[in-house]
Amino acid sequence: MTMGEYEIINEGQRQRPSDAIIAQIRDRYPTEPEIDRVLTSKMKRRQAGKCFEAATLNQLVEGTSNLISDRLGRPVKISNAKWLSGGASKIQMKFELDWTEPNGEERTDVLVLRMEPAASVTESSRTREFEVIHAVNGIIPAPRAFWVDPDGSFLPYPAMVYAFASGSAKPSYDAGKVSGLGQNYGPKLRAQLAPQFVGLLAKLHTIDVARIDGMEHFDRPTVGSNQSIIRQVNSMRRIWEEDRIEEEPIMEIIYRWLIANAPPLDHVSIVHGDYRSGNFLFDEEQGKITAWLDWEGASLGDRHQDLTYAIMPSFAHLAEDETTLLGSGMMAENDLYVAYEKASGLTVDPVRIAYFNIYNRYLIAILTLAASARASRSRGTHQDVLVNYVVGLGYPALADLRDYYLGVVK
Amino acid sequence: MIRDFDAQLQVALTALQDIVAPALSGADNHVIEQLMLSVATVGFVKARLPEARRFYRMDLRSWIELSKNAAQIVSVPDVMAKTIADGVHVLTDPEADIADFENISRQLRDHVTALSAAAVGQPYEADLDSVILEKLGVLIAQNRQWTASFGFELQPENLPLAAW
Repeated sequence: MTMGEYEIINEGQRQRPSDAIIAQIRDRYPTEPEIDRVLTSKMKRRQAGKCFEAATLNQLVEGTSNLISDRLGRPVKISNAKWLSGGASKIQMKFELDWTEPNGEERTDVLVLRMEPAASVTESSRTREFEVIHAVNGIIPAPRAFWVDPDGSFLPYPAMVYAFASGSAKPSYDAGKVSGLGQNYGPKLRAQLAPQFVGLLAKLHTIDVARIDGMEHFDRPTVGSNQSIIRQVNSMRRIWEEDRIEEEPIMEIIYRWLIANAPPLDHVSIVHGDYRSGNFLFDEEQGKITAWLDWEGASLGDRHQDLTYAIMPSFAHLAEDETTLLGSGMMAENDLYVAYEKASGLTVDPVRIAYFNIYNRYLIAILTLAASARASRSRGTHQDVLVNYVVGLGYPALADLRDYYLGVVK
Repeated sequence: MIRDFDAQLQVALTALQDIVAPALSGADNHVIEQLMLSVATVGFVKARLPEARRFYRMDLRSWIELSKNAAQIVSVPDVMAKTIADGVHVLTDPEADIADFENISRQLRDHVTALSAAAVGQPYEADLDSVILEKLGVLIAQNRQWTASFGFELQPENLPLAAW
């Protein structure tokens, strides 16, 4: 049944999409070529009925060894491999590598293999993640990226190898928390980490994108145009079309608003895309951020996307006064903006803040009610029970989206 | 019925919590995490299973009500009118089960969304969207109450009481 441009796709078509359904969704919601490639691959895997197939540690060691040997042109030795926990979306293995740099330097490094499962909370490009980590090297503390297997030629699924970063994602007294959602760092640690949290965001957003080599798999947006934002909104809508279990009419209303009100870019920044508690490591004794992780959602775009994401209620908790909402367990919304303007020299525009507050709420609703729900139901990941648990965030996120939207449009 | 669902889930939870969890002391964090999440998931099912039919019935009632409200604003297609009628019938059918409620609710979700998409630029667009946003606010709050045990609510005590 067709009404306007909206087309009803039933559950059976989502579970086993035909080429026509895949093409129809791609045509309706055009996005960046690399994002299109990733999402199309996801649908093709689903079309083929592929669930996640667990790999043994030995299989990953062998595949990683073959990948690195191929890239270096000489054999390497991997030892002390073990599973690495943390995060809801990727499979990770920590290992030691004895190898020789192209300049002849012999070294032993502790590295991490980061591999996609068959389906994920966030379908993303290992190539883009690899490129953006290179781009911020020396500016933002992030693990050095070494090698990438973009198509899963050596490993069961696409993967990359990067340096192991020391530090903790959660305070020692609260290690049971999942993925930094509502993480409370406590007053002392918070006071130490919050200035770094803002300062690094300011540094990231003020990198001169025009002077960066690489990032070939990112579209380069134009100041004064809103086309890059529209493509990003379309990529989210595409995930909603491809993954949702059931329709939510509110998502249709808000999609239209996001397209109609997309603001033109006033400055092009590297946007992390998942800048929040749980996605950085820190040294608890020194109170210092040691590494920013999870660059898979990075894009070239509007800084307000990261600013508003960091203060999403989904990643916040109430301060000791039980009234102040601390974004990412760090600081209140207005405090964050004031500190950011001072650190970056860039303005925080209230209109764009309102827009990206809706944008990010829309994103979170999609990642929970659609992507996570679909990935866990289709037995697509190595930790379906965790991905399924994250779906529980979906209705609070949808309510928050609706309430915020009503506050803006009224 | 000796093998009632509640008892089956209870014994499984007891085994996981009292026997398996202590035995995993020292295991990798992700193993312990998956066990605890499994316990939480089974616990959710145990708590909600007895209420499931009432919940899905309430959900369908809400979608029928919203669909009828929409039909007062705009003429709905025949297929949607038939789905509304099917839903009304299912609500009064003592043999209807959860799958029947869920199936028709899902169809109405699609139809209401399609109506909203088709309303773009029409004089009734704002009225229709307003009804959707208002009615779904109530239903989303019930879904939050239904899933509150997963622990994502900042202030669960502020949620409206269960209406199912």
